[in-house]
This record gives sequence, C-alpha cells and structure tokens, in this order.
Amino acid sequence: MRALITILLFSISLISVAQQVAIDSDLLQIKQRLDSIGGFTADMSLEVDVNFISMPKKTGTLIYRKGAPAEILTDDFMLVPKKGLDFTLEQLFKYPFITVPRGSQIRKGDSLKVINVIPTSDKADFSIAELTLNISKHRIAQSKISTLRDGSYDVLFSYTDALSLLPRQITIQFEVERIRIPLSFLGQDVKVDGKLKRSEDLKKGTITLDISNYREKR
Amino acid sequence: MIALIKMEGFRLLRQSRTYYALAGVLLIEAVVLLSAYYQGNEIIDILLSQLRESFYFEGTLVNGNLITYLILNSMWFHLPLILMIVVSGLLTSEYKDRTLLTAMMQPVRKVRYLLSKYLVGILFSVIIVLLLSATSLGFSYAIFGRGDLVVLLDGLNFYEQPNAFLRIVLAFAAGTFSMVFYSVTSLTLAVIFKDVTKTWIVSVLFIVISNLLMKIDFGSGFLNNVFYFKLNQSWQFFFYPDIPWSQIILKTSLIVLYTTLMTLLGLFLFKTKDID
Amino acid sequence: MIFSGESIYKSYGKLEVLKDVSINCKAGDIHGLIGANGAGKTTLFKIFLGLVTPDSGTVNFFSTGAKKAGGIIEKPALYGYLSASDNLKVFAGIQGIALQKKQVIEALHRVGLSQDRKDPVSNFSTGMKQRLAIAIALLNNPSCLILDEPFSGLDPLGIAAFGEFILQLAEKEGLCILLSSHIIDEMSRLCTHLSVLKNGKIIHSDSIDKSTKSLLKTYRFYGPRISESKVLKRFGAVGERNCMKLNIEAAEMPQLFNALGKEQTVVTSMIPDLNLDGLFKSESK
Repeated sequence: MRALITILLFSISLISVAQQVAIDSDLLQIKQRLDSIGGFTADMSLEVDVNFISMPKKTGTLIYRKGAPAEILTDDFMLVPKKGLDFTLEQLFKYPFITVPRGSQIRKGDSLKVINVIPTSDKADFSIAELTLNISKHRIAQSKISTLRDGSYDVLFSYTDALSLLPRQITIQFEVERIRIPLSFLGQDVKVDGKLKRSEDLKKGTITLDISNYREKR
Repeated sequence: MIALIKMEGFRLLRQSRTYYALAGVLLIEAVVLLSAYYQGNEIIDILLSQLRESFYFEGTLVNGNLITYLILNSMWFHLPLILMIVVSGLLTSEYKDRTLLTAMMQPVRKVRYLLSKYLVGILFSVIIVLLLSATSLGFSYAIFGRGDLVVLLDGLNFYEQPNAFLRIVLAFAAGTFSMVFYSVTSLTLAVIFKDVTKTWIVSVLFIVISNLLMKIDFGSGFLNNVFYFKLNQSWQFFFYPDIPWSQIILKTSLIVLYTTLMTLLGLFLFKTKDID
Repeated sequence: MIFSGESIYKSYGKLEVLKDVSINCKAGDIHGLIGANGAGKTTLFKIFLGLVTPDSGTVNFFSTGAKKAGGIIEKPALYGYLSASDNLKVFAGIQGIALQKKQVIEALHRVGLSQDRKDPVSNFSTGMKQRLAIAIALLNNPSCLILDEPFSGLDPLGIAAFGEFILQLAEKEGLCILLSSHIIDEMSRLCTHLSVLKNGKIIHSDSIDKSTKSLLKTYRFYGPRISESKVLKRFGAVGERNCMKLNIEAAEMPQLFNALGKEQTVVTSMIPDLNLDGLFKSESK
C-alpha cells in the first residue's frame, strides 16, 4: 500500500516536472510581460490589401481590455480582421499547451527563437501555432496560427523601440476566397437569390494596422 | 431665338402632362428608393458573406450613398421613357391640335421653330436629371445617412463619403448626356411619325432595343466604343477605383456627336416636309 | 396688287391636285373661291400660306412688312389649355413680338372678344375661337388674309357678324382677303371677285357682278301662303308653303314684280341662288 502511494506521488511529481519542462521558458517570460497589460486605448489606422478589394485607409480607436476581444470604434465602415488582434496571445494560452522548439535565427541583430505551440485541450480553437520570439527584447516578433474553423493567418509585429511591448504595426496575412457573383450589382436586373459561384483560387490578403498613442485603460 | 425658347418653355410649363411626368419621376424614384433599401440589405449580405469568414464589419454599408447608387442604376431605363413622352409631345401635340399650322403661318423659320423645341427638350431633360439627383441624394442621406459606398466592379470597391458623393454626382452628370440623346431622338421621331401614339410606340421600342443591344459584346473594341447604345453606360466608369477619364471623355464626346446628328436629321426632315 | 399666285401645280403621287391655278388679289378685294369638297381649295391656300411647297408656280406678296399674310386653315387651331391673351402672346412671341397688355386688349377688342375672359380657350364657342384665330392671323399687320372655310361651325348670326367683320377689314383697312366657303349667299354678298375650282383647275374667275349676272338665275321667294300665288306659278316657280323657287332672267324681273303687285301677293324676302350646276358646267374664265 505504502509502495503504491509512493509510486503514485512519484508519478505525479514526474508529470509536473515534465509539464514544466514542455513550456519554453522564454515564452513564459514573454507571457508574463503580456499578462501585465490590463487594458489600453490607442489610435489606429487599418489598410486592407486584398486582390479584389479596393478600400481606402480607415482610422479608428482601438480598445483592449484583458479577457475581452479587442474592439475598434470608427465612424466609417471598416473590415475588422477576426484574427490577429489578440495582442497578449490570450487565446493561445487560454487552454493547456506544450511547446516544441523549432530553431533560432538572427534578424536585424536580434536573437529570435521559433517555437511551436500545441494545445493539449480539445477546447482550444487552434491546432498549432508557430511563434517567433524576440529573445533580445522579450516580445513576440511573429506568429503563424492555424485555427480549427477560421483558416490560418500570419501576424507580423513591428515595434517603435527596443523597450516597447505593444506593437506600432501589426501585419496580418490570411487566405481569402475570391468573391464571384454571377449577378450584376446594377439594380435593374439584380435577382437576390443567394446563389454564388465560388472561385477555386484562394487569394492571400493582408491587413495592416498602424497603432499609435497608446493610453492605459484601467 | 430667345423669344421662341421662352414661348416653348411657357407652353411646356402650362401643360398638365409636364407635371404628371414630374410626379411620375418622383413616384418611380420613391418606389426605387424603397426597393433599393430592402434589396440593399440583401445585396450587401451576399457580397460580404464570404468576407465574414475573415472579418467583422464595423459600420453599415446600407446608407444614402448605396441607395442613391441603386436609384442611379434603375433610373436609366425608366427616366428615358418619361422624357421621350414629354419631349416628343412638344411636337406631336402641335400636329394633333394643328397649332403647328397656326405657328407656321407666322413669319418664323421652320428650322428656328423646331430648334427651339430641341433646346427646350434638352433643358427639360437636364432639369429632370438635376431634380432626380437632388431628391435622391437628399432623401437618401436624410433617411439613411452617409457612409462608405461599396460597388462591385471588377472586385469590391469602397469609397468614403466625399469621394462617393463626388462620384455619384459625376455619374448623374454623365447620365445626363444619355438622357439628352434620348430626348432629342424622341423629337426627331416625332418629326418622322407626327402621330402621338406612333411616336410613343417607336420611342419605347427604341429604348428597349437599345438596352438589349447594350448587353451584346460585339467582340471588336471599335464597335463596342462607337455604337450609341454602348455609350450610355459611361456613368459606371466613375465607380472604378481609377476613373478612366479618357474613355469617359471619348464616350461623352461620341454621344454629343450622336445627339447633334439626330438634331440635324430632325431639322432637315422638318424643313423639307410640308406642313400638311 | 398685293398678292399673286401664278401657274400653281401640285401633285401627290399620281394624283394631280392643282393644275395651272392662278389667282391675284388687290388691296381691298375680297376674292372668293368656291368648289366641291376635294377640289383643291385647302391645298391651294396652304401653298399660298407657305405650308405646302408647290411642284411649280410662283406665289408673290407685294407688300412690305415682316408678315405678308395671315390665315386660318379649316378650323381655328389654338392652344386649348391657354387663355385668349396667352394664345395671342405665344403666337406673337413666335414671330418675335413681345405683346404688352394694352396691345393684347386692342387685339381682342378688334375682333370683338372681351379681355375679361381668363379661362382656357377650350371653353370658347366656335365663333369666339374663330375670332381669336382672326386676331392671331392679324398679328404683325399682314396685308393679306387667307381664310379657308371661315364660316363653318358658325350659326347664322355668327356668319352675318363674321361677314361684316371681313367686309370691314377689306373696305376700311384695305386688306386683300382670299376666302373659300360653301355658303353661296354670303360669298355673293361679300366678295368682289369669284373663282371656281373644279378638279384642281380654275374653271371660272371674274368679278362678282359678272359672275352673278352669268350664273345667278334662280331666286327663292318667301312669304305667307306664297305657294298659292298664281303669278309665280305662271312664271314657272315650284315650291310649297312659304317658299317658292323660280328660274328667271334679270330682264323679266320688272314684269314679275308688277304681276305680283297686282295679285297683292305678300313677299317677305327674295334670296338669290347661284346656280351651282351652271357654275360647274361653265368653262368661262
């Protein structure tokens, strides 16, 4: 009996150690920094670069509160990306996960580490994420996330200076199916019957957000 | 000439059918506005349904600009009908009431007399389009507010408010040339047919056939640019992201040429025909 | 000479409507043109008024002034939705005249129309429309008036009044007037000259005196119980009740009147009838 308990306790501690070992320490450090962000508002401009969409640059106010999705307030019409506004990567870290190192590189004098984040829970809404961590400056440089329902997207973070934790520019790349509509959007013979022809081609689209004037939100 | 134009305008304003036509235009506009509103929601839903996979939409696209754009689309078929009836009536009513006889017994040159009708017809067409543009923009903005305009032309094109307003105004201006052409044609048809009913029938046929021919691709860039029924869609060019000014100027110049030729034809026929 | 139409020819396809028609008119003359329906009267007047181009021939007006001739072709053609004043203003405006209010009133009074009526002309009677049409024809002071069937649609009083007006225009204002009508007694009363058009050709053209002398042989006698007159029956009159019709030469008139006087037959009126058969059989020119 005593032996059994001992074996059980040993197994539990072994698993705990293994768990601690499966999450990259640099990531944990960066995660800690990101967790310190309670909320903020900022001025932002959004530019859509999709092959079949011509849209002028839009401006608005970005509002972030910890635990809630980012909001954008604007007087104009805006195509707000569903993914890529998760500044603190909360959605990645919401459920249990493991990390797998993928290598390192030097980019513009900064030490970068590439790791895969793999969720271990069925509740997570992504299958795998590749994060590029800036070890020198302790922040995320890039992420490539494959979601379960909303496709894959890449996010590139640019920062104002060495100490900034929040980016000045976020570039989100994703795949968009080209819209083909066989009816004429010309009023006189528009028949709104809901039938759409879909193109086989998937196009890459890019959204660029320029963010400035961060103001802490309590 | 000014006196002739004044008299023509005076008579046009004193005829009840002019006001029926104005009321008709406004009524059609109101109906189109209503249907555009309901259609607009569905159209936007369909256009943007695939984008919903990747985007949220902040703001609404069903606004005054979209409604006015949809009114623009449908008016270019309805408006010529009304214009052709009123403008051809400038002459056919004179044949019917025989007042043309009385007028031609006065010392006035036939060409000048008919030219005054062409000029009043053109002026009337311009005023109607101005009225249509002012009321459609006014009511649309008042009821639905302002906002971005989305147009599907080789992709989804979004235009912000001042830009959208300018493009819509320019589209109305371009469409005016087409409306003037139809009005002038109706008057020339009146010279040929004289009878009210025959002129109406032929005018309606002219519009219907023009609209059908407009949709045919003749294969040749030259033919697609030169036939008059291909020139009536110039207004759409203002909704491309890069406005093709050279094409617009070319097509507008051609339609002015066609209008002039149609006027000259009418004047020639009227001058050579007896008033019988 | 105010007006001259020489050797007018007009065909519509194979149908020859007018053949070598010539008519002249001096100031103060009232030149009547009579003919059956389809004889070519309206076409001829349209040619004179510049509405129709002849195949050949000349039309000349010898007066100065912007408007050579005014006219009415068949029924008066007016803008029914406008008032009388507005009609005058519009037709004046067409020829470059800006009529002042005083001039409008004068023009209406000239033809016996009231300035007070503001309602549309479509409410006017035929006679009033005819008068307004004349007022429009007289705008800009033409020297010649061409009237095609001006009495049609008028009642007897209207015909008489209109006739007086035409006389006044010719005698007092010196207009030369061309008119066509089927009302023979008015024509013989008003006209200074008479032409007859048959199948597009002028078959008779002479002064009214000579025309009536050669063509006027029939008279209608009216009176109470005139059909009982033995004198009239002896001269060959036929008829019944209050009207008897008699063909008689002018030379026999005194004998007839003497006999009627002795019989004490009451004659209330005697109206000449131009012999239409004679007119159309006559080839004199």
